[in-house]
Amino acid sequence: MNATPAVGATGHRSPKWWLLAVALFLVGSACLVVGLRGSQHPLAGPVVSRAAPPKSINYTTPPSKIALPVAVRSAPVELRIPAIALTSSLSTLGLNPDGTIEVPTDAQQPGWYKFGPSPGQEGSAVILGHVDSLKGPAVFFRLQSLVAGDVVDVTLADGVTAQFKVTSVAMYLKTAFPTQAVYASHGFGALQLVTCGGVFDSRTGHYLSNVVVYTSLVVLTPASAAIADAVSHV
Amino acid sequence: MLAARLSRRAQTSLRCAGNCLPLPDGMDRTSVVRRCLIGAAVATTTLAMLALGGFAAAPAASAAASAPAATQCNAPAFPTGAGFQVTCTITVDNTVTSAGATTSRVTGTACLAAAGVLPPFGCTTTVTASNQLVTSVNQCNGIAYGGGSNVMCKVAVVNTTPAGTSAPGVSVDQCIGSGTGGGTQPTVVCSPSASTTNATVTQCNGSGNGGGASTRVKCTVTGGATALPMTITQCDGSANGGGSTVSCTTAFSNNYEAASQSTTTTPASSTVATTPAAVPRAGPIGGGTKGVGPPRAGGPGGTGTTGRSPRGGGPTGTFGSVLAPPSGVIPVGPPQTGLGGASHSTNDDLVILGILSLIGSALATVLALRRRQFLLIRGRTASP
Repeated sequence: MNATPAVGATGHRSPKWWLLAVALFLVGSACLVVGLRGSQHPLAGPVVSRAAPPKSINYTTPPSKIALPVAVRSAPVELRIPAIALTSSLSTLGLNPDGTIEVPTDAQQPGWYKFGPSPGQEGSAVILGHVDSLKGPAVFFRLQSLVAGDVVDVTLADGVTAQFKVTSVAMYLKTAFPTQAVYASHGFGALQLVTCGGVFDSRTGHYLSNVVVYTSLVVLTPASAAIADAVSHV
Repeated sequence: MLAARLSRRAQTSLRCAGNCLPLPDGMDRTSVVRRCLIGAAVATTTLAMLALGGFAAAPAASAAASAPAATQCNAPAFPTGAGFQVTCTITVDNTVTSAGATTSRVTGTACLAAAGVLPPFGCTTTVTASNQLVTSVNQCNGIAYGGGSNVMCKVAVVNTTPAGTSAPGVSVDQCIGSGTGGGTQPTVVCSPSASTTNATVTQCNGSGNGGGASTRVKCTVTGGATALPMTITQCDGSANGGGSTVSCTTAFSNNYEAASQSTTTTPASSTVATTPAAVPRAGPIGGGTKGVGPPRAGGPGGTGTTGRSPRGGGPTGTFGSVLAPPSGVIPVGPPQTGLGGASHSTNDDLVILGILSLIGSALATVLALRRRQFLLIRGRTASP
């Protein structure tokens, strides 16, 4: 009989702590869930062009009218973009059965579209890279920070190095992706670097836009000259 | 030898595994168990290696018996859709010296572009050398049957053998079941036109059946004899959409090499077949009735007169006629090059608050438990 008041006292005094513990647990759990789920935010980049660009803008115009030697067809093996500290080997990309372009299987390695010209040839060579993977930034994450005048070097399998300069950077909604501007020839040696950007649509698992860096050929360096240059630097 | 030793070790280990449960006299159970586990692992690995070796041995022996083959421009590596220009060439140089040594060199050029876009655009060349003779070539089969495509493939076989080597004639099986679907006659121009089983050359069968222009299946075999064994299969079941063309050639030449000089029995000019290519077009012909419609840029597949269901015109058919020079096959749609990992960020403040709340919750729980225990003890001590 005498134990009853003690139990009653226990039941009377400790519920405060129990209630506090439960409340804190619920609040803490909710904060963790919401905090870890986080939020989506669009990647920084150029303003989205809602329509395909007109043919008169400068991406179709080479920076100089000097006739450049044309590279023979050779697969590109390395891409270097000093402005964003990027040096990477390259894979090759073909077409999917539905006619869309394959994308690189490795998020950290860009790929060259093999059914177009090789970099340095007349026409538009295209290199694709991922902006990010599920884990975080990928090889072309900083591509959208390039500006006109930045240098892009591509080494071909035959040892030739093709140097390009960025002429413009644009972002397009995927619904208005300018395939002709990106893939078709504009009458000179061009290299287009393509990745994703803008707002990420978590329902589809894809970004809503593409970032395209337009470049034009500046100089071709033969393999022997490249080797001599390297030796002289040593 | 090694396999036998491994096998004996495996058998020993298996016996050990069988005796694992009863404890041998004078032995510590732990050491026995350890030894048996090691033995079991060795046995499993050994058996797996032997099994793998057995599986691998069969194809290896088979591969050693068969000579390498030259293969390119076949589905699924090459597209089956519409509006493609496929131009593929394989040159096989097989050489047998008077001492019996064999070498081969295969030069393959595979070009894929929009219809009307001719090489060198979209071409890839590979050269493969081997000390085995190449005895079969397989290319341009089952591709580009979506309408408005052109398939132009060529095989050149150059055999170099010691003087006096016999050169049996080649048999040909080509242009069977091809060129149907309507169009101005002749839709098929083949030389020779023959149906033979197990032929040396099997080409252009079941191809170019979508209707369209005249002379849309044009295939030839020249040379007539081969000093070294060869089987060629090309251009079968290809370019069956409306307005598609097939032009394929096979050429044999045999060079006979004396001790210090070489003689060529087949004139060089005749070793390379010079089949006129289909007239390059800016885009595929629409597969129109009787095949007399004018060339159009990327028009839709037309209707063959005898029922072959034509496919749509090439998705990239307009490419050859745009102002800019052609440069390859233009993909459809935008690329998907992101999975969102970089555009997603956690809310660090909320995470910290959550962690602190959980810590507080844990502390409150501890305090509640201690309080409860304290009150229980006090209640017991307070009772008489």
